[in-house]
Amino acid sequence: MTRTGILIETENGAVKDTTLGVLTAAAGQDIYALVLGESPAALQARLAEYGVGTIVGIEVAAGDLGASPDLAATAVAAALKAYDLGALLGTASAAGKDIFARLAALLNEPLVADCVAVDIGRQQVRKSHFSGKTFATLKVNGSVLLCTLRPNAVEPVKSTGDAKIETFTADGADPGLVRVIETKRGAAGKLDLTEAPVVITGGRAIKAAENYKMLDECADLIGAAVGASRAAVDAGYAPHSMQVGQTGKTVSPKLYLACGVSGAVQHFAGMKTSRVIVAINEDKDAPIFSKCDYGIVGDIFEVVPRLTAQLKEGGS
Amino acid sequence: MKICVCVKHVPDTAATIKITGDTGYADEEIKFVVNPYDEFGIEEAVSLVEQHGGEVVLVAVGKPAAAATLRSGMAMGAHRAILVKTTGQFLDSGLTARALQAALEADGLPDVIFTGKGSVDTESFQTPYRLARALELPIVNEVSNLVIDDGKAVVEREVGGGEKQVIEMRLPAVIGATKGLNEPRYPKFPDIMKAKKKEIKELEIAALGIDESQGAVVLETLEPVPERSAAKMLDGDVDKQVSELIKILKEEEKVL
Amino acid sequence: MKTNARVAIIGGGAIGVSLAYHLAKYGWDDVVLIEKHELTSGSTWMAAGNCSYYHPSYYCTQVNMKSIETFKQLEEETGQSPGWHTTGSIRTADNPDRLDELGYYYSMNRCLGLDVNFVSPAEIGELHPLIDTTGLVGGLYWPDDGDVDPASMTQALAKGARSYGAELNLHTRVTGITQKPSGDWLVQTDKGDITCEFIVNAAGLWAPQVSKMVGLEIPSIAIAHTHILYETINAVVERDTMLPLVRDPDRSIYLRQEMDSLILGMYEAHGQQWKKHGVPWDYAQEELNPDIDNIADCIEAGIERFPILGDTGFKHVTAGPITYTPNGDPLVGPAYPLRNFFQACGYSFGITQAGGIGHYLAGWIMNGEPEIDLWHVDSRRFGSYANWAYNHEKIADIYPRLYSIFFPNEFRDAARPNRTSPIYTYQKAANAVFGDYFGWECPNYYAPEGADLYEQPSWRRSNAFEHVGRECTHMMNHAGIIDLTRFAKTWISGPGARDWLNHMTCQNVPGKDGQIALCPMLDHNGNFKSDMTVTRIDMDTYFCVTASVGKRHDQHWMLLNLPADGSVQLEDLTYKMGCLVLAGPKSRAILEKVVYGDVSNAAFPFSTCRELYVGRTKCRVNRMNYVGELGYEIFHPIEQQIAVYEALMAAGQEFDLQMVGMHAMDSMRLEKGYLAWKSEMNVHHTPLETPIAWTVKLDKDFIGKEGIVKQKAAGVPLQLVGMVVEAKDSDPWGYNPILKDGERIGMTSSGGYGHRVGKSIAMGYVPPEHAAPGTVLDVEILGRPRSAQVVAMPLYDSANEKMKS
Repeated sequence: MTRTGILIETENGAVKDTTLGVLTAAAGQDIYALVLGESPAALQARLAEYGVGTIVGIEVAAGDLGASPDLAATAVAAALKAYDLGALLGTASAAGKDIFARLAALLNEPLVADCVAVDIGRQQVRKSHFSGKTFATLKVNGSVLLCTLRPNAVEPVKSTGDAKIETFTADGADPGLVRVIETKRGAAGKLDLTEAPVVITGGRAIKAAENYKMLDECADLIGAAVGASRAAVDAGYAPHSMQVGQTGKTVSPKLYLACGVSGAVQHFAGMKTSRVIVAINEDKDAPIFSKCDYGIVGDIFEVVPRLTAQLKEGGS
Repeated sequence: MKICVCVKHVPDTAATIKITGDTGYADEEIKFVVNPYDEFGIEEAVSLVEQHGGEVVLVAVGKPAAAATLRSGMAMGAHRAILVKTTGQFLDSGLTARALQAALEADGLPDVIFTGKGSVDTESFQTPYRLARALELPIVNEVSNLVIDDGKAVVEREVGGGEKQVIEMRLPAVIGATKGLNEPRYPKFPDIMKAKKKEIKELEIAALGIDESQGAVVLETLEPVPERSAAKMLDGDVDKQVSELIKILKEEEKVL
Repeated sequence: MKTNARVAIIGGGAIGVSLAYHLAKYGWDDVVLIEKHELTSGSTWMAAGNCSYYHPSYYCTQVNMKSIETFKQLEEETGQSPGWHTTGSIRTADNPDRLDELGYYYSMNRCLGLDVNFVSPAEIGELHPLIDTTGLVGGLYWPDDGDVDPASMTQALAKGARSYGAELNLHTRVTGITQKPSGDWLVQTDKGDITCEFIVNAAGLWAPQVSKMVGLEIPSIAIAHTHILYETINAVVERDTMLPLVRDPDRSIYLRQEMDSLILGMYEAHGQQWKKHGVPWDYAQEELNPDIDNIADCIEAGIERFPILGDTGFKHVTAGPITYTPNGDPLVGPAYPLRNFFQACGYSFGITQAGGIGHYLAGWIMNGEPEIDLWHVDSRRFGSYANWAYNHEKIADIYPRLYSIFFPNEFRDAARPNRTSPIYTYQKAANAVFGDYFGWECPNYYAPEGADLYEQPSWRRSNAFEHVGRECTHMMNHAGIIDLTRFAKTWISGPGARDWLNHMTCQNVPGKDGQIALCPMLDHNGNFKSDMTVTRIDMDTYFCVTASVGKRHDQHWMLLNLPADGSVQLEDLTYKMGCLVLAGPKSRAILEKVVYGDVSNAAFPFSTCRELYVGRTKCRVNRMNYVGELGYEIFHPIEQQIAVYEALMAAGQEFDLQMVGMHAMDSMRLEKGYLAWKSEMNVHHTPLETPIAWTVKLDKDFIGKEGIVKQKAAGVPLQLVGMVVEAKDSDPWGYNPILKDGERIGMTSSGGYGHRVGKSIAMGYVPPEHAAPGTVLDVEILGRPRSAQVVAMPLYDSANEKMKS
């Protein structure tokens, strides 16, 4: 058994679902839930359900945790040392990736990020290489295993733990290299195609530029960006900035919805590393159906509005 | 001003990765490109120097073929480049950072160091941090906006969910660039030709005192992700198909 | 997947899918296509998509026309758009030779009814505002062609194919092919076997490996071809009509609009051959690494012609492998020597040709003959010399010259020599300027001492003109030797030989030993299939000679028609026997000196064959020739050619015997009105339209009789005529218009200068009402009409006295 720290992420005062998966990845180890900048008591009940032995509420003697990622990293490093942790896991969220990288650099320890599986005992991890085209198994040789897990890569499984609360005050000072001035909402507007976690693309079957509104409605519900095939752009239904494909943009979302897209090789080249591909097309022989995970043979003008409606009902 | 951009020579995301042996892949013939995120760094560096004067120096750690990426970067306007040559296909991030550090220190530390937010091949997301730590410089990653004024940089960093942090730091600093920072220029042919004459200084990684085989993270196996198996075609009427699809995407695939 | 099919098409690129579409559309059930990966995942998906009418061949231009016609209606037919754009196209010229070439094509295109126009540099600039016309002297403009999206086009055809009942099997790889005793083919795949009557090899990059499965070696090797998509160009975005495609062939580049920008393509000096020993089976959907250095010259040429390109960034550089054959034209049609195995591969301009070749090849397979003469792309135009190594060397020369000016008198040096006659060194010593014909080196003419051993490529009279004239005059007044070793020679024997030959030709096979007859072979429609001369050795033995370049084509026809009972044996003698033609008024005198025997006119009349000792060599001498002089075709064992040659030259010395080349022979045959295979004799004409109608004997059965009878009943629509033309410094060519009062009434089949009569001559087909000698017509030469007059043929020695003397 290894003393394994889990960096807890919260939202609206509750433990994030993605963290539950990370906790599960440490099942069987002596789990220390590290909580930064939140009250541990509020999280205790939940953490007890997922095998946490000890909750460590980390505070700093001086400085503003929220304003300095380096200070946070220093504090976590101190806790890691104090509790003699052999491993520290977290979520590969933007925040998680950042703090773990700072931590690894600070401690001069190896780090593996965005893993889909971890074997703490063997100090081995599994993660993607080449944007999802291959899996790599890596051995980590350090005195502490630092690892972030891909969000939702591990299915959360409950396991009872004591979850006794402790407080830890870190002494270290803020190196004062960076300072967070504020956090702001990004400018309103469409999600960027190449960074969106979900992409819906309309092909030539969309038949008119204004019909993209139908996809926009669905996209807004599921946090998707909207793309177009070359044929649709060529027909004048969408601007070039929306083109996905070999001579357009390359995307790698977790979910790709191809609506009325035939699935030509040059289009596929621009989205083939998408994790899950769903295709909706009237033509059962469309090439896209041999390249997707799930397919619906149907008229996009029937299917997409139904999809939007059901998503609304379900409260996605 | 002097700006350095750390760049990586990576396979095109559309290329087929054919695995050879346990831990290798066929890299002789597939299409390689500049790591897409690094391009934002190169563009930003070139724009800044166009405004303020100075030079942009690219640094790469990789096999000799990585010179092509340096040429591409110089076609975008970088002035010269340094290549730390390795023999292997993969290099531990810690060693990469040490190599970059050695190259940068030997060349003279710049005012700004750009990197991309991560590479699309090994996806380790840590090299700029290690480099910054070694050089004792500030680092902010996933930067989508940058204003430099009087030795200070104010950046916007993407933190997901449409939110950005506004962060301030003094220069010199390490900045990890991401989408939104700028629109990388497409190289023009005259610049591509000029780039062929620009200098690439070559260093051997061993000569920098770094042993490629001594990385802390060791690749044990590389396996192909199985090709998508045949699609599951949904049936029933539209409502039934849609509800089944939503269920699958939410509960099985967990992508919704 | 079906286990039985009428036809199995191997390969799911543009070509294979188009063929499946057409076969199914025209009514064939059980059309199966087998593709090892996804449709288009070989060369098709990365193709640039250019789709122009232009092709150097009259018939291939028709294939392109058919493609465009197909693509334009595909969306309406299938509901799937092929991404067609009508942009028009321009082909520029920056030198007079190119203008000549364009002039020829202008004339040829007018025979096809195409809307094509000469344009001046100023007009080119108006049509394409981004072009810098510096140095241009003119061009051709077609308003109606354009470009297509290769993948969408193929998918649309696939949709159509499926709707007509074709079965398209993807992710199914052919692993072997065998032939059953019944003649049916067995195609083995990794998903099961399929028995079929016909196989079509449309496997593109993998076509050589598929060919190997049936024991064939085909000349097809991939070269990486590059095109560059530029970033958005405002000047393009702001237009409301699309820019025409431009080919600047003198710079070896093309430029077309692609949505908001432009694509520049090129054929650089050093084409990089790719996987020349065989493309890996698992290669699919993969771009190659572009080599900008290798194409830098062409990019610069592009910038010179289109300055905006120098200021515009490269958005995406696509490098993809495309197949090339020894002359850049594909390999199509029945594969020698197999039955029911068709090639449809070796494509370099596959997108342009796909729609059309699907139609014409479907017809070829379904009806046994193509609707138009596709000799230009027939895979049998290459012989066994055109192996892998030959192709590897040849395409290094062909690739950078894909746009170079085609000159009818140019024979490139690359990958030569291959086949040489034993007297090759004598020919060289006599300053021969060689051409190659079906792999055989053959002197085109002999240059005088001190002259350049090089014929200037030209559409007009070249530096060879006077030397050719001298040779013709010499033959007319003295005697000459022409090397025709390359003749295709077939020995037909057996108890069934006579009846079989009589069935194969419309003519009566000679009835007496030692008699020779001109025996054309016709196809089932009655049109010319092969130009054959038959010598009867004895009742069961015949010596057949056909055009050298038709060797595979003609012997294939014979093989496929041999009776199954073994009563007819076919032996190929092409490489066992040489042939030297001795002709001219002094030829008998020379023969008399060197031959043991009586060669007087009485003992050895015209159109007979004698076995004679020429010196110490036993030869088969045919008293017949293609130049219309007193003359003899001396067939001999090839290993004794030098002995025969030296004997003749020694005997001929006092008569000033000299060697004569191909250009002279062609000049002389024109003066006699003799037909040439694939000029006058092609799938569009029967003997009834020509002066050799007498070779058709309707009192017997033969292949093609039905067609002949039908034509006779309906009235023979055309007549082959000879015309004397008022030419200046260029003589007529084939496939150009014949005009009456400005209207096109016919088309030339060949032309040249007759040195013995001192006239410029054209042969061509016109309606009978214009065929009378004395009729005044015009013949277009290099785009300009020249006055012409129909004359009675032969022009030289009209009573044939010299030949028969």
